[in-house]
Amino acid sequence: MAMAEECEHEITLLLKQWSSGDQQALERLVSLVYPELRAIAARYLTRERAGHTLQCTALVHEAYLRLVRTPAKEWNDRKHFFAVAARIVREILVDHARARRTYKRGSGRVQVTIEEAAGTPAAVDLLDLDAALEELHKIDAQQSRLVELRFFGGLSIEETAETLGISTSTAKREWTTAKTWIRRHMQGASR
Amino acid sequence: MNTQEWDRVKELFEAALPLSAEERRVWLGAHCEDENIRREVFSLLSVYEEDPEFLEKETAEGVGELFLEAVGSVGKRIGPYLVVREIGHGGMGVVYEAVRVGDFTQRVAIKLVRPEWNNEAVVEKFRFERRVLARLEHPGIARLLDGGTTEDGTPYFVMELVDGVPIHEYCRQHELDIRRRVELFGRVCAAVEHAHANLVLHRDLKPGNILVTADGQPKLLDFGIAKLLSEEAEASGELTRTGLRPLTPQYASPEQVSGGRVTTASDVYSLGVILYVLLTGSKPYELAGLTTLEALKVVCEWDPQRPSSVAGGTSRRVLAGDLDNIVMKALRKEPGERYPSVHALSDDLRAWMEGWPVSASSRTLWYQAGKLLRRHKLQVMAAGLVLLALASGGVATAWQARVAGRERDHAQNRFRQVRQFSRSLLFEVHESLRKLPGATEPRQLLLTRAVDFLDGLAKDAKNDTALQLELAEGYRRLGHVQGSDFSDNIGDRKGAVRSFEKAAALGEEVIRRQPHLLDAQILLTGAYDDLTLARLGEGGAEAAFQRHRALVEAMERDHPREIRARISVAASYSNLAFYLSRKDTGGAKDLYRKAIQRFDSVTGQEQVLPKIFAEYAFALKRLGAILITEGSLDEAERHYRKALALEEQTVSRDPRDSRLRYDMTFSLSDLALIAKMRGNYGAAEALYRQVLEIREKALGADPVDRRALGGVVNAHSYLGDALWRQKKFPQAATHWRETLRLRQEMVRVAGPAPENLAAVAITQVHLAQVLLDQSESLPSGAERRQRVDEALALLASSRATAAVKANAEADPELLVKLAKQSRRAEQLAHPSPHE
Repeated sequence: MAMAEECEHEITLLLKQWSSGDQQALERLVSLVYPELRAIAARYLTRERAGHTLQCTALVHEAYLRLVRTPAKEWNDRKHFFAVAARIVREILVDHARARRTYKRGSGRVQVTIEEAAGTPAAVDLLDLDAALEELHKIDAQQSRLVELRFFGGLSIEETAETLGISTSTAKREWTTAKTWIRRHMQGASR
Repeated sequence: MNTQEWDRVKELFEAALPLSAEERRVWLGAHCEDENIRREVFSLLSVYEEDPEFLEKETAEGVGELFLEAVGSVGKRIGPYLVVREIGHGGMGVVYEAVRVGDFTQRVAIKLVRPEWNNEAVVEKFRFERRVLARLEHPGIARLLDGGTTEDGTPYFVMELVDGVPIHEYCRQHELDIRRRVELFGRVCAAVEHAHANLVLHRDLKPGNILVTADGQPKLLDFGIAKLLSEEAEASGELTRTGLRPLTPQYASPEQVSGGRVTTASDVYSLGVILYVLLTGSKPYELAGLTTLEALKVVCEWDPQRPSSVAGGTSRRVLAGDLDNIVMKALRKEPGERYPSVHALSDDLRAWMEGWPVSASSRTLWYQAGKLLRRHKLQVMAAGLVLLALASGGVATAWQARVAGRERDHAQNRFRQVRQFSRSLLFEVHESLRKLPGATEPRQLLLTRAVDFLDGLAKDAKNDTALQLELAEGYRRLGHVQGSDFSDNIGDRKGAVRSFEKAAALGEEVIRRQPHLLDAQILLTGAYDDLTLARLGEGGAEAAFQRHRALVEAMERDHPREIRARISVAASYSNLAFYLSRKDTGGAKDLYRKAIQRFDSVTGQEQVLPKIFAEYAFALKRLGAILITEGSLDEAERHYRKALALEEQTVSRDPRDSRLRYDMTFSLSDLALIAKMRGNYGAAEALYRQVLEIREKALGADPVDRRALGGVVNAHSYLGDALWRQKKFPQAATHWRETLRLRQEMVRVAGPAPENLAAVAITQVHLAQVLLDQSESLPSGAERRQRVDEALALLASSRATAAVKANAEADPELLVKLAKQSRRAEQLAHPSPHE
């Protein structure tokens, strides 16, 4: 109990530190949030879950609840947490996709490819998406973060708007522009 | 784009969105004056309108699932195995690389049902795959090792872990040529055949399911939607249970995508798609981005283009004809029109490899005769003459089709036929006519026609790179036929030079447009090599040589890695050296060394063919020959040994090829010469015996083979010489007698040409010398007397022969030897009382 409270305290503290620009706090946050995300995933796998799929919204929210315990007293803390979680999810997925691509292209061991078309979880190429986000970040950092939150954090438009401190209608517009820009960039990449 | 511009783009884009699609453009035209920004916004709008839902659906669920997959599996225990990583996944199953607990060196692949799919139907399906795998035991199929159920009741099975790359990647990485691809594909066919023989249909054959291991063994994986062919299986209902998993439409047959009856012909079709991909590098049709319905339509209705029309570069030529026909037959929409079995498909591929007629190719007289001509030139001479008669009519019609210029596709099709036609016309028909007595006139007619024909096409080939190269190759071959057949005819040698010059001119035209095009470089180096040899002794040879040399250096600079380029560069250096060796042996040596070094760098490559080994060995031998004349015996021997090793390797690959084996004898006999020059006559003798053995076998196989006959004669004389030098006189005499007998035989058969007579005369002197030496070692008596008499008779005969041709070209060496041995013989026959 004491441990958990301590942890909770630490998370809140770290989030505050990070929001005021402390990069070391972010590293520490990642080291706390990452195992929790993994643990949730593992529990999800062993649970009876026929017919269910894990939503990343649930993943991030559940992680937050487990780590911070108190339901969002302060939105300010939560939004930083979401930003961290979305960033972590993105990194893990991109690493995974990159590793997979390496197996397939390199000296690699593609043991069996079961059907590629139907069961593929995301219909977009993650590595292309990631590259597009990097590019978008250079011309419009806010849009890039917005896509990260929506796509990897699973946040709704409203939550995204709050996290970024903009209005819902602005978030909606920016989202449309950003994803259009990304789509065009990805088309260029695949050509 | 800077931030300000981007803000403006964003603003306009977002403002335009609420409007209708047409209004957006109009509105934008009125509100944005900056051309660049407007174009940017237009572009974004178009992208948006294509798919407004982009990224909306996939987001939440997909990413969550992917996350599970990314972090979920590693370290998990499955039975006695520990998961190392995930290597494949799908809707209901997942495959891990795992190690056995307690024996971490044993790496395996484990396939198991995803927990969320753990229901009766899926598990039954899964067990079925396991049973299927248990039936199959073949080096081309990943082996089933073990199976079980996890603690939570999920069934799994354990397979051989295949360390390999998908077959198309393998071909690309190893730069396999068409032949080697076909060969590799044949091994896939063997595995599928094995499955079919065990009544198993794979039904999901695709490159991703065929991995090739480092030692080149393809392995079939994933029998996840396999089907049993037996009635028993049908009765038990296994047959119907296939809807659980979608197949890969890119490789699926029309009957599979449309839900028809699936048979072995369906696997034949998928193999056809794979072969298409392996041979051309592209798919017969692209389904990516199509809706299911569209894909269905494409698979069931669209006829793919012939492989040769989509492949690039030189493979186009290899594919045209038989391989095209084979692939297209496997890809017929109607299962009944395809190959009836995988076996039939692989039979045809084997036939292609060995040059037999291919069942898929049309059964026209032209085709059959062409194939047979190549195999049995003499036997089907009559067919050759028929083709010749056809040639005059056929060419004209095809040519008109081209000139008319209408119905372009049709004309191009005809054009392709013409191309093949001309090729066969020249090289198959001509080849067959060559040996036919009295065919000189039709041959010349044929060649004249071929020249007219190529000239006609060349006029129209402006800027068509592929065609120009094709024509240039045609001129080269034509030149070879003109040059090599009428080499004693000045007029036709000039014709050959003209053809080579035309080939070079076409190649130069291509290279002006595409200075680094490898195909053009290869063609040109060949053409200039031809020219150099055809114009030997004229001024033009040197110019061709210099241009050839410059091209080789460019090719080496432009394509340092490409294996084809490196092989060609090596051969070129060797050819250049051959020319240069006539006047500058130092320069020739340098060039041979370059050639050898380049050859050496490619012989490690798997796809290097025997022909290249032969060229490599040739360069080594030529350099060795120069070194022998310079007395650098050690280095010469090294090169000859290497050449011999290469030749032995080639022979062991194809032990029946007597020609390859025959080529070895030149290395052996030059090595013997080196031994002889060192005074090591015993070693020389052993080598010459090998030479004789091989050549006698060749002569036995084909008693009218002139080359083999000459070779056997020479081998007897070399061996006789080596034995004589060791003072093994009786044996030496045996071989010199045989030499003499055969040379006299040759005079009888080929007539008393001066060189044949001279050969007889010198042989008689040699034999006489051996006999005299032998008689010296004998005590006086009848035996000694007999040798001396024989020698005297031989020398008398030799003198007579020499006298016949004394006016023509007296051989001073023969005369000196003759005089010397005659004096000895006289002394031995009439010893002075003082001795």
